[in-house]
Amino acid sequence: MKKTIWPILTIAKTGFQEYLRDRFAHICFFIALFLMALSIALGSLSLEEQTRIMIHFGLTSIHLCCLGLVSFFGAFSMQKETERQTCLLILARPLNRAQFLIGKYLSVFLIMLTVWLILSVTLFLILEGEVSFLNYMQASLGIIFEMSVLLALAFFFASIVRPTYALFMVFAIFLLGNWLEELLFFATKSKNEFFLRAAEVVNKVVPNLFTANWRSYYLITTGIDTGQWFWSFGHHFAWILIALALATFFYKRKDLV
Amino acid sequence: MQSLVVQNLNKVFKGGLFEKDKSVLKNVSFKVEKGVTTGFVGVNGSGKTTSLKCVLGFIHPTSGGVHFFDNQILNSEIKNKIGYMPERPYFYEFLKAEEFLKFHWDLGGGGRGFDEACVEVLSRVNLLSSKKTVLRQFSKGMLQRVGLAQAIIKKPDFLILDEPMSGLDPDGRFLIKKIIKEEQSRGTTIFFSSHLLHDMEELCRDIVVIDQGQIIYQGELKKFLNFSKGETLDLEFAFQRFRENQKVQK
Repeated sequence: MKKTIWPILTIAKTGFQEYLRDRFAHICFFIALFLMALSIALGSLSLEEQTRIMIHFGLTSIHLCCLGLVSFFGAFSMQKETERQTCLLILARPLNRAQFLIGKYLSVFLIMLTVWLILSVTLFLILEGEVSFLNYMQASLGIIFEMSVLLALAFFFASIVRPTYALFMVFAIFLLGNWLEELLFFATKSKNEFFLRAAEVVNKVVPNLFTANWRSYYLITTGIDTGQWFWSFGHHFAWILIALALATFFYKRKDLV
Repeated sequence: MQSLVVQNLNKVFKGGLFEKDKSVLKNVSFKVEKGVTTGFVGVNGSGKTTSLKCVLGFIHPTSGGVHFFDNQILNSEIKNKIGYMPERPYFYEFLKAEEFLKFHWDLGGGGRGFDEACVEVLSRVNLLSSKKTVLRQFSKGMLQRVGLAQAIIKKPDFLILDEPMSGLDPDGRFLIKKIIKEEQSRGTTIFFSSHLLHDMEELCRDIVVIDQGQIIYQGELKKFLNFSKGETLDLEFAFQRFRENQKVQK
Protein backbone atom coordinates (compact mmCIF):
# COMPACT_ATOMS: atom_id res chain seq x y z
CA MET A 1 0.00 0.00 0.00
CA LYS A 2 2.80 2.40 0.94
CA LYS A 3 4.54 1.63 -2.35
CA THR A 4 1.41 2.70 -4.24
CA ILE A 5 0.59 5.82 -2.25
CA TRP A 6 4.09 7.20 -1.68
CA PRO A 7 4.92 8.08 -5.33
CA ILE A 8 1.45 9.65 -5.76
CA LEU A 9 2.01 11.88 -2.73
CA THR A 10 5.52 12.77 -3.91
CA ILE A 11 4.22 13.87 -7.31
CA ALA A 12 1.30 15.73 -5.72
CA LYS A 13 3.63 17.60 -3.38
CA THR A 14 6.07 18.60 -6.11
CA GLY A 15 3.26 19.59 -8.48
CA PHE A 16 1.70 21.67 -5.72
CA GLN A 17 5.02 23.46 -5.19
CA GLU A 18 5.17 24.13 -8.91
CA TYR A 19 1.65 25.58 -9.08
CA LEU A 20 2.29 27.74 -6.03
CA ARG A 21 4.89 29.54 -8.11
CA ASP A 22 2.70 29.70 -11.21
CA ARG A 23 1.80 33.20 -12.37
CA PHE A 24 -1.62 32.13 -13.60
CA ALA A 25 -2.55 30.92 -10.11
CA HIS A 26 -1.45 34.28 -8.69
CA ILE A 27 -3.55 36.15 -11.26
CA CYS A 28 -6.66 34.05 -10.51
CA PHE A 29 -6.16 34.58 -6.78
CA PHE A 30 -5.79 38.35 -7.03
CA ILE A 31 -8.76 38.70 -9.37
CA ALA A 32 -10.89 36.85 -6.82
CA LEU A 33 -9.58 39.12 -4.05
CA PHE A 34 -10.35 42.17 -6.19
CA LEU A 35 -13.90 40.95 -6.84
CA MET A 36 -14.34 40.35 -3.12
CA ALA A 37 -13.23 43.89 -2.39
CA LEU A 38 -15.68 45.03 -5.04
CA SER A 39 -18.45 43.11 -3.26
CA ILE A 40 -17.80 45.21 -0.14
CA ALA A 41 -18.11 48.38 -2.19
CA LEU A 42 -21.28 47.14 -3.89
CA GLY A 43 -22.75 45.98 -0.61
CA SER A 44 -22.16 49.34 1.00
CA LEU A 45 -24.25 50.95 -1.75
CA SER A 46 -27.28 48.89 -0.81
CA LEU A 47 -29.52 49.14 2.21
CA GLU A 48 -30.25 46.04 4.31
CA GLU A 49 -28.80 43.81 1.56
CA GLN A 50 -25.09 44.19 2.30
CA THR A 51 -24.53 40.65 3.62
CA ARG A 52 -26.58 39.08 0.82
CA ILE A 53 -24.60 40.92 -1.88
CA MET A 54 -21.29 40.17 -0.24
CA ILE A 55 -22.08 36.46 0.04
CA HIS A 56 -23.36 36.14 -3.52
CA PHE A 57 -20.61 38.20 -5.08
CA GLY A 58 -17.85 36.80 -2.85
CA LEU A 59 -18.74 33.14 -3.36
CA THR A 60 -19.10 33.72 -7.11
CA SER A 61 -15.61 35.20 -7.23
CA ILE A 62 -14.22 32.12 -5.40
CA HIS A 63 -16.20 29.91 -7.76
CA LEU A 64 -14.79 31.60 -10.87
CA CYS A 65 -11.26 31.67 -9.52
CA CYS A 66 -11.37 27.93 -8.82
CA LEU A 67 -12.90 27.32 -12.26
CA GLY A 68 -9.99 29.17 -13.89
CA LEU A 69 -7.46 27.12 -11.94
CA VAL A 70 -8.96 23.68 -12.54
CA SER A 71 -9.79 24.21 -16.19
CA PHE A 72 -6.39 25.59 -17.21
CA PHE A 73 -4.19 23.47 -14.98
CA GLY A 74 -6.36 20.38 -15.59
CA ALA A 75 -6.31 20.73 -19.36
CA PHE A 76 -2.65 21.64 -19.75
CA SER A 77 -0.76 19.91 -16.93
CA MET A 78 -0.28 16.50 -18.57
CA GLN A 79 0.51 18.01 -21.95
CA LYS A 80 3.09 20.29 -20.33
CA GLU A 81 4.75 17.26 -18.74
CA THR A 82 4.92 15.49 -22.09
CA GLU A 83 6.09 18.55 -23.99
CA ARG A 84 8.88 19.35 -21.52
CA GLN A 85 9.58 15.61 -21.22
CA THR A 86 9.72 15.92 -17.44
CA CYS A 87 7.34 12.95 -17.27
CA LEU A 88 9.95 10.63 -18.81
CA LEU A 89 12.24 10.82 -15.82
CA ILE A 90 9.31 10.27 -13.48
CA LEU A 91 7.83 7.35 -15.39
CA ALA A 92 11.23 5.68 -15.55
CA ARG A 93 10.92 5.34 -11.77
CA PRO A 94 8.99 2.45 -10.19
CA LEU A 95 5.51 3.87 -10.69
CA ASN A 96 2.90 3.50 -13.37
CA ARG A 97 1.05 6.05 -15.45
CA ALA A 98 -2.10 5.81 -13.30
CA GLN A 99 -0.12 6.82 -10.21
CA PHE A 100 1.45 9.69 -12.13
CA LEU A 101 -1.91 10.95 -13.38
CA ILE A 102 -3.53 10.73 -9.96
CA GLY A 103 -0.53 12.52 -8.44
CA LYS A 104 -0.91 15.34 -10.96
CA TYR A 105 -4.66 15.46 -10.29
CA LEU A 106 -4.00 15.77 -6.57
CA SER A 107 -1.44 18.53 -7.12
CA VAL A 108 -3.99 20.71 -8.95
CA PHE A 109 -6.63 19.75 -6.39
CA LEU A 110 -4.33 20.88 -3.59
CA ILE A 111 -3.63 24.28 -5.14
CA MET A 112 -7.35 24.76 -5.75
CA LEU A 113 -8.10 23.71 -2.17
CA THR A 114 -5.51 26.14 -0.81
CA VAL A 115 -6.84 29.05 -2.83
CA TRP A 116 -10.42 28.14 -1.91
CA LEU A 117 -9.59 27.92 1.80
CA ILE A 118 -7.79 31.27 1.90
CA LEU A 119 -10.53 33.03 -0.05
CA SER A 120 -13.40 31.40 1.87
CA VAL A 121 -11.91 32.29 5.25
CA THR A 122 -11.17 35.84 4.02
CA LEU A 123 -14.79 36.24 2.91
CA PHE A 124 -16.06 34.91 6.21
CA LEU A 125 -13.89 37.41 8.09
CA ILE A 126 -15.23 40.19 5.85
CA LEU A 127 -18.77 39.08 6.74
CA GLU A 128 -17.86 39.67 10.41
CA GLY A 129 -19.71 36.60 11.68
CA GLU A 130 -23.11 37.56 10.30
CA VAL A 131 -23.73 33.97 9.23
CA SER A 132 -23.06 30.63 10.88
CA PHE A 133 -19.51 29.43 10.11
CA LEU A 134 -20.67 25.82 9.73
CA ASN A 135 -23.45 26.67 7.28
CA TYR A 136 -21.14 28.98 5.39
CA MET A 137 -18.35 26.41 5.00
CA GLN A 138 -20.86 23.70 4.10
CA ALA A 139 -22.14 25.92 1.29
CA SER A 140 -18.68 26.91 0.18
CA LEU A 141 -17.63 23.24 0.03
CA GLY A 142 -20.07 22.89 -2.87
CA ILE A 143 -17.48 24.76 -4.94
CA ILE A 144 -14.89 22.08 -4.12
CA PHE A 145 -17.31 19.28 -5.08
CA GLU A 146 -18.04 20.90 -8.43
CA MET A 147 -14.45 21.84 -9.23
CA SER A 148 -13.10 18.39 -8.32
CA VAL A 149 -15.41 16.86 -10.91
CA LEU A 150 -14.48 19.45 -13.53
CA LEU A 151 -10.80 18.87 -12.79
CA ALA A 152 -11.16 15.11 -13.28
CA LEU A 153 -13.06 15.75 -16.50
CA ALA A 154 -10.32 18.14 -17.67
CA PHE A 155 -7.78 15.35 -17.18
CA PHE A 156 -10.02 12.94 -19.06
CA PHE A 157 -10.64 15.29 -21.99
CA ALA A 158 -6.95 16.21 -22.16
CA SER A 159 -6.09 12.51 -22.44
CA ILE A 160 -8.14 12.15 -25.64
CA VAL A 161 -8.03 15.56 -27.35
CA ARG A 162 -5.74 18.57 -27.48
CA PRO A 163 -5.63 20.67 -24.30
CA THR A 164 -7.32 23.66 -25.94
CA TYR A 165 -10.30 21.52 -26.95
CA ALA A 166 -10.29 19.99 -23.47
CA LEU A 167 -10.53 23.48 -22.04
CA PHE A 168 -13.61 24.29 -24.13
CA MET A 169 -15.17 20.96 -23.24
CA VAL A 170 -14.71 21.66 -19.54
CA PHE A 171 -16.42 25.02 -19.93
CA ALA A 172 -19.25 23.35 -21.85
CA ILE A 173 -19.75 20.78 -19.06
CA PHE A 174 -19.55 23.57 -16.48
CA LEU A 175 -22.35 25.50 -18.16
CA LEU A 176 -24.44 22.45 -18.95
CA GLY A 177 -24.03 20.93 -15.49
CA ASN A 178 -25.14 24.16 -13.84
CA TRP A 179 -28.08 24.71 -16.21
CA LEU A 180 -29.45 21.16 -16.07
CA GLU A 181 -32.14 22.08 -13.55
CA GLU A 182 -33.44 24.84 -15.81
CA LEU A 183 -33.16 22.59 -18.85
CA LEU A 184 -35.31 19.93 -17.18
CA PHE A 185 -37.76 22.58 -16.04
CA PHE A 186 -38.21 24.03 -19.53
CA ALA A 187 -38.39 20.55 -21.08
CA THR A 188 -41.24 19.63 -18.71
CA LYS A 189 -42.98 22.92 -19.41
CA SER A 190 -42.67 22.52 -23.19
CA LYS A 191 -44.59 19.20 -23.12
CA ASN A 192 -42.54 18.19 -26.15
CA GLU A 193 -41.79 14.46 -25.83
CA PHE A 194 -38.49 14.64 -27.76
CA PHE A 195 -37.21 17.65 -25.83
CA LEU A 196 -38.12 15.97 -22.55
CA ARG A 197 -36.37 12.70 -23.46
CA ALA A 198 -33.29 14.61 -24.66
CA ALA A 199 -33.16 16.60 -21.41
CA GLU A 200 -33.44 13.39 -19.39
CA VAL A 201 -30.57 11.81 -21.33
CA VAL A 202 -28.39 14.89 -20.85
CA ASN A 203 -29.27 14.85 -17.16
CA LYS A 204 -27.95 11.29 -16.92
CA VAL A 205 -24.72 11.70 -18.92
CA VAL A 206 -23.64 15.07 -17.54
CA PRO A 207 -22.67 15.56 -13.88
CA ASN A 208 -25.42 17.36 -11.98
CA LEU A 209 -23.22 20.24 -10.88
CA PHE A 210 -26.24 22.30 -9.86
CA THR A 211 -26.80 19.94 -6.91
CA ALA A 212 -23.73 21.47 -5.23
CA ASN A 213 -24.79 25.04 -5.84
CA TRP A 214 -25.42 26.34 -2.34
CA ARG A 215 -23.95 29.76 -2.98
CA SER A 216 -27.04 31.56 -1.74
CA TYR A 217 -27.67 33.81 1.23
CA TYR A 218 -30.98 32.07 1.86
CA LEU A 219 -29.43 28.58 2.06
CA ILE A 220 -26.57 29.79 4.24
CA THR A 221 -28.90 31.42 6.73
CA THR A 222 -31.45 28.58 6.80
CA GLY A 223 -28.91 25.75 6.56
CA ILE A 224 -28.41 23.05 3.94
CA ASP A 225 -30.25 19.76 4.22
CA THR A 226 -27.69 17.16 5.37
CA GLY A 227 -29.20 14.41 3.22
CA GLN A 228 -28.97 16.59 0.15
CA TRP A 229 -25.38 17.53 1.05
CA PHE A 230 -24.31 13.89 1.32
CA TRP A 231 -26.18 12.90 -1.84
CA SER A 232 -24.35 15.64 -3.72
CA PHE A 233 -21.03 14.51 -2.23
CA GLY A 234 -21.68 10.93 -3.39
CA HIS A 235 -22.78 12.02 -6.85
CA HIS A 236 -19.71 14.21 -7.38
CA PHE A 237 -17.35 11.62 -5.93
CA ALA A 238 -18.71 8.96 -8.29
CA TRP A 239 -18.14 11.30 -11.23
CA ILE A 240 -14.55 11.95 -10.12
CA LEU A 241 -13.87 8.21 -10.02
CA ILE A 242 -15.43 7.64 -13.44
CA ALA A 243 -13.55 10.55 -15.06
CA LEU A 244 -10.21 9.57 -13.51
CA ALA A 245 -10.66 5.93 -14.50
CA LEU A 246 -11.33 6.98 -18.10
CA ALA A 247 -8.41 9.44 -18.06
CA THR A 248 -6.08 6.71 -16.82
CA PHE A 249 -7.37 4.25 -19.41
CA PHE A 250 -6.58 6.61 -22.27
CA TYR A 251 -3.37 8.03 -20.82
CA LYS A 252 -1.94 4.51 -20.47
CA ARG A 253 -2.36 4.03 -24.22
CA LYS A 254 -0.65 7.25 -25.18
CA ASP A 255 2.78 7.41 -26.75
CA LEU A 256 4.90 9.93 -24.87
CA VAL A 257 6.82 11.11 -27.90
CA MET B 1 23.25 -13.44 -18.92
CA GLN B 2 21.42 -10.58 -20.60
CA SER B 3 20.31 -7.35 -18.97
CA LEU B 4 18.20 -6.36 -21.96
CA VAL B 5 16.79 -8.29 -24.89
CA VAL B 6 14.90 -6.45 -27.60
CA GLN B 7 13.13 -8.63 -30.14
CA ASN B 8 11.66 -7.60 -33.48
CA LEU B 9 10.60 -4.18 -32.35
CA ASN B 10 8.50 -2.32 -34.87
CA LYS B 11 7.03 1.11 -34.48
CA VAL B 12 4.75 2.80 -36.95
CA PHE B 13 3.51 6.30 -36.20
CA LYS B 14 0.07 6.88 -37.67
CA GLY B 15 -0.04 9.69 -40.18
CA GLY B 16 -2.72 12.35 -40.31
CA LEU B 17 -5.64 12.47 -42.73
CA PHE B 18 -3.48 13.20 -45.76
CA GLU B 19 -0.20 11.86 -44.41
CA LYS B 20 1.34 8.45 -44.77
CA ASP B 21 2.10 6.30 -41.76
CA LYS B 22 5.73 6.54 -40.76
CA SER B 23 7.67 3.42 -39.93
CA VAL B 24 10.37 4.47 -37.47
CA LEU B 25 11.64 1.12 -36.21
CA LYS B 26 11.88 -1.95 -38.42
CA ASN B 27 12.46 -5.28 -36.72
CA VAL B 28 14.90 -3.88 -34.22
CA SER B 29 16.54 -6.67 -32.25
CA PHE B 30 19.56 -6.50 -30.00
CA LYS B 31 20.92 -7.68 -26.67
CA VAL B 32 22.81 -5.99 -23.88
CA GLU B 33 24.99 -8.31 -21.86
CA LYS B 34 25.09 -8.03 -18.10
CA GLY B 35 28.00 -6.03 -16.74
CA VAL B 36 29.02 -4.79 -20.18
CA THR B 37 28.93 -1.25 -21.50
CA THR B 38 27.15 -1.19 -24.82
CA GLY B 39 26.93 1.81 -27.08
CA PHE B 40 23.89 2.53 -29.18
CA VAL B 41 25.03 4.49 -32.15
CA GLY B 42 23.31 5.99 -35.15
CA VAL B 43 23.07 9.28 -36.96
CA ASN B 44 20.47 11.83 -35.88
CA GLY B 45 16.96 10.60 -36.66
CA SER B 46 17.99 6.97 -37.02
CA GLY B 47 15.64 5.79 -34.25
CA LYS B 48 17.88 5.69 -31.17
CA THR B 49 15.65 7.72 -28.89
CA THR B 50 12.47 6.00 -30.15
CA SER B 51 14.07 2.62 -29.43
CA LEU B 52 15.02 3.71 -25.93
CA LYS B 53 11.54 5.09 -25.35
CA CYS B 54 10.07 1.75 -26.45
CA VAL B 55 12.45 -0.07 -24.12
CA LEU B 56 11.33 2.04 -21.17
CA GLY B 57 7.63 1.87 -22.05
CA PHE B 58 7.14 5.54 -22.95
CA ILE B 59 6.17 4.54 -26.47
CA HIS B 60 4.12 1.45 -27.21
CA PRO B 61 5.74 -0.58 -29.98
CA THR B 62 3.50 -1.67 -32.85
CA SER B 63 4.93 -5.16 -32.42
CA GLY B 64 7.86 -6.87 -30.78
CA GLY B 65 9.01 -7.39 -27.24
CA VAL B 66 11.38 -6.03 -24.62
CA HIS B 67 12.70 -8.16 -21.77
CA PHE B 68 14.98 -7.29 -18.89
CA PHE B 69 17.22 -9.43 -16.71
CA ASP B 70 16.45 -12.80 -18.26
CA ASN B 71 12.95 -12.63 -19.61
CA GLN B 72 11.18 -10.25 -17.27
CA ILE B 73 8.91 -7.57 -18.63
CA LEU B 74 9.13 -3.97 -17.43
CA ASN B 75 7.45 -3.53 -14.04
CA SER B 76 8.06 -1.55 -10.86
CA GLU B 77 10.56 -4.09 -9.56
CA ILE B 78 12.58 -3.91 -12.79
CA LYS B 79 12.33 -0.11 -12.89
CA ASN B 80 13.86 -0.02 -9.42
CA LYS B 81 17.00 -1.57 -10.87
CA ILE B 82 17.24 0.88 -13.77
CA GLY B 83 18.70 4.37 -13.85
CA TYR B 84 17.69 6.52 -16.81
CA MET B 85 18.80 9.85 -18.13
CA PRO B 86 16.91 11.36 -21.08
CA GLU B 87 18.39 13.19 -24.02
CA ARG B 88 17.20 16.66 -23.06
CA PRO B 89 17.70 17.44 -19.41
CA TYR B 90 14.38 19.15 -18.62
CA PHE B 91 13.56 19.02 -14.96
CA TYR B 92 11.34 20.90 -12.53
CA GLU B 93 13.43 24.06 -12.57
CA PHE B 94 12.06 25.52 -9.35
CA LEU B 95 13.59 22.70 -7.33
CA LYS B 96 17.01 22.93 -5.76
CA ALA B 97 19.52 20.22 -6.74
CA GLU B 98 19.05 18.54 -3.37
CA GLU B 99 15.22 18.71 -3.60
CA PHE B 100 15.35 17.32 -7.11
CA LEU B 101 17.35 14.32 -5.94
CA LYS B 102 15.03 13.85 -2.96
CA PHE B 103 12.07 13.87 -5.35
CA HIS B 104 13.62 11.02 -7.35
CA TRP B 105 14.72 9.23 -4.22
CA ASP B 106 11.12 9.29 -2.95
CA LEU B 107 9.74 8.19 -6.32
CA GLY B 108 12.08 5.24 -6.11
CA GLY B 109 10.45 4.21 -2.84
CA GLY B 110 12.17 6.59 -0.42
CA GLY B 111 13.73 5.08 2.66
CA ARG B 112 16.69 6.02 4.82
CA GLY B 113 20.13 7.10 3.72
CA PHE B 114 19.18 9.94 1.42
CA ASP B 115 21.45 12.56 2.99
CA GLU B 116 24.55 10.40 2.59
CA ALA B 117 23.58 9.30 -0.91
CA CYS B 118 22.88 12.89 -1.94
CA VAL B 119 26.25 14.17 -0.74
CA GLU B 120 28.06 11.24 -2.34
CA VAL B 121 26.39 11.54 -5.70
CA LEU B 122 26.66 15.34 -5.87
CA SER B 123 30.37 15.10 -5.07
CA ARG B 124 30.79 12.60 -7.88
CA VAL B 125 29.21 14.95 -10.39
CA ASN B 126 31.05 17.97 -8.97
CA LEU B 127 27.90 19.74 -7.84
CA LEU B 128 28.17 19.57 -4.09
CA SER B 129 28.66 23.34 -3.85
CA SER B 130 25.44 23.83 -5.85
CA LYS B 131 23.37 21.60 -3.58
CA LYS B 132 21.11 24.46 -2.55
CA THR B 133 20.94 26.11 -5.97
CA VAL B 134 17.71 26.00 -7.95
CA LEU B 135 17.96 24.12 -11.23
CA ARG B 136 16.83 27.22 -13.12
CA GLN B 137 20.26 28.69 -12.49
CA PHE B 138 22.12 25.64 -13.79
CA SER B 139 23.99 25.62 -17.10
CA LYS B 140 23.33 22.86 -19.62
CA GLY B 141 26.38 20.94 -18.46
CA MET B 142 25.29 21.19 -14.84
CA LEU B 143 21.78 19.98 -15.73
CA GLN B 144 23.27 17.04 -17.58
CA ARG B 145 25.33 16.21 -14.50
CA VAL B 146 22.44 16.52 -12.06
CA GLY B 147 20.44 14.35 -14.49
CA LEU B 148 23.14 11.73 -14.25
CA ALA B 149 23.15 12.13 -10.47
CA GLN B 150 19.45 11.22 -10.24
CA ALA B 151 20.09 8.21 -12.48
CA ILE B 152 22.83 6.78 -10.23
CA ILE B 153 21.62 7.87 -6.78
CA LYS B 154 19.87 4.54 -6.15
CA LYS B 155 22.89 2.58 -7.37
CA PRO B 156 21.08 0.89 -10.26
CA ASP B 157 22.12 -2.41 -11.83
CA PHE B 158 21.40 -1.08 -15.30
CA LEU B 159 22.01 2.44 -16.58
CA ILE B 160 20.29 3.69 -19.71
CA LEU B 161 21.64 7.03 -20.92
CA ASP B 162 20.30 8.85 -23.94
CA GLU B 163 23.02 11.01 -25.52
CA PRO B 164 24.67 11.75 -22.17
CA MET B 165 27.45 13.82 -23.68
CA SER B 166 25.62 15.81 -26.32
CA GLY B 167 26.24 19.54 -26.20
CA LEU B 168 28.83 19.35 -23.44
CA ASP B 169 32.20 21.07 -23.35
CA PRO B 170 35.37 18.90 -23.06
CA ASP B 171 35.39 19.17 -19.26
CA GLY B 172 31.76 18.09 -19.06
CA ARG B 173 32.40 15.15 -21.39
CA PHE B 174 35.40 14.14 -19.36
CA LEU B 175 33.38 14.13 -16.14
CA ILE B 176 30.51 12.11 -17.60
CA LYS B 177 32.99 9.60 -19.02
CA LYS B 178 34.68 9.37 -15.63
CA ILE B 179 31.37 8.61 -13.94
CA ILE B 180 30.48 6.01 -16.55
CA LYS B 181 33.86 4.36 -15.94
CA GLU B 182 33.24 4.37 -12.17
CA GLU B 183 29.87 2.73 -12.75
CA GLN B 184 31.54 0.16 -15.00
CA SER B 185 33.95 -0.73 -12.25
CA ARG B 186 30.98 -1.21 -9.91
CA GLY B 187 29.67 -3.84 -12.33
CA THR B 188 26.76 -1.80 -13.65
CA THR B 189 25.44 -2.68 -17.07
CA ILE B 190 25.46 0.49 -19.16
CA PHE B 191 23.61 1.14 -22.37
CA PHE B 192 24.05 4.58 -23.81
CA SER B 193 23.24 6.19 -27.10
CA SER B 194 25.27 8.65 -29.07
CA HIS B 195 25.71 9.81 -32.62
CA LEU B 196 29.47 10.02 -32.16
CA LEU B 197 31.74 7.02 -32.37
CA HIS B 198 34.38 8.94 -30.42
CA ASP B 199 32.25 8.62 -27.29
CA MET B 200 31.96 4.88 -27.74
CA GLU B 201 35.59 4.08 -28.39
CA GLU B 202 36.74 4.90 -24.91
CA LEU B 203 33.88 3.36 -22.99
CA CYS B 204 32.22 0.48 -24.81
CA ARG B 205 33.05 -3.09 -25.44
CA ASP B 206 30.03 -3.72 -27.63
CA ILE B 207 27.99 -1.51 -29.88
CA VAL B 208 24.62 -1.65 -31.55
CA VAL B 209 24.42 0.37 -34.74
CA ILE B 210 21.09 1.61 -36.00
CA ASP B 211 20.46 3.23 -39.34
CA GLN B 212 17.08 4.33 -40.69
CA GLY B 213 15.27 2.34 -38.03
CA GLN B 214 17.15 -0.90 -38.68
CA ILE B 215 19.94 -2.54 -36.76
CA ILE B 216 22.85 -2.91 -39.12
CA TYR B 217 25.47 -4.15 -36.70
CA GLN B 218 25.65 -5.61 -33.26
CA GLY B 219 28.82 -6.89 -31.69
CA GLU B 220 32.22 -5.81 -30.60
CA LEU B 221 33.18 -2.23 -31.24
CA LYS B 222 36.66 -3.19 -32.39
CA LYS B 223 35.28 -5.29 -35.24
CA PHE B 224 33.02 -2.47 -36.38
CA LEU B 225 35.88 0.01 -36.33
CA ASN B 226 37.88 -2.32 -38.54
CA PHE B 227 35.50 -1.44 -41.34
CA SER B 228 36.71 2.13 -41.24
CA LYS B 229 40.29 0.79 -41.13
CA GLY B 230 41.17 3.06 -38.27
CA GLU B 231 41.27 6.09 -40.56
CA THR B 232 38.51 8.00 -38.87
CA LEU B 233 35.83 7.65 -36.28
CA ASP B 234 33.30 9.46 -38.43
CA LEU B 235 30.07 7.52 -38.21
CA GLU B 236 28.88 8.21 -41.74
CA PHE B 237 32.24 7.07 -43.03
CA ALA B 238 32.16 3.93 -40.92
CA PHE B 239 28.61 3.19 -42.19
CA GLN B 240 29.77 3.62 -45.76
CA ARG B 241 32.69 1.28 -45.28
CA PHE B 242 30.49 -1.19 -43.46
CA ARG B 243 27.97 -1.27 -46.31
CA GLU B 244 30.71 -1.57 -48.92
CA ASN B 245 32.11 -4.48 -47.00
CA GLN B 246 28.72 -6.15 -46.79
CA LYS B 247 28.26 -5.76 -50.56
CA VAL B 248 31.65 -7.34 -51.19
CA GLN B 249 30.78 -10.22 -48.90
CA LYS B 250 27.51 -10.81 -50.79
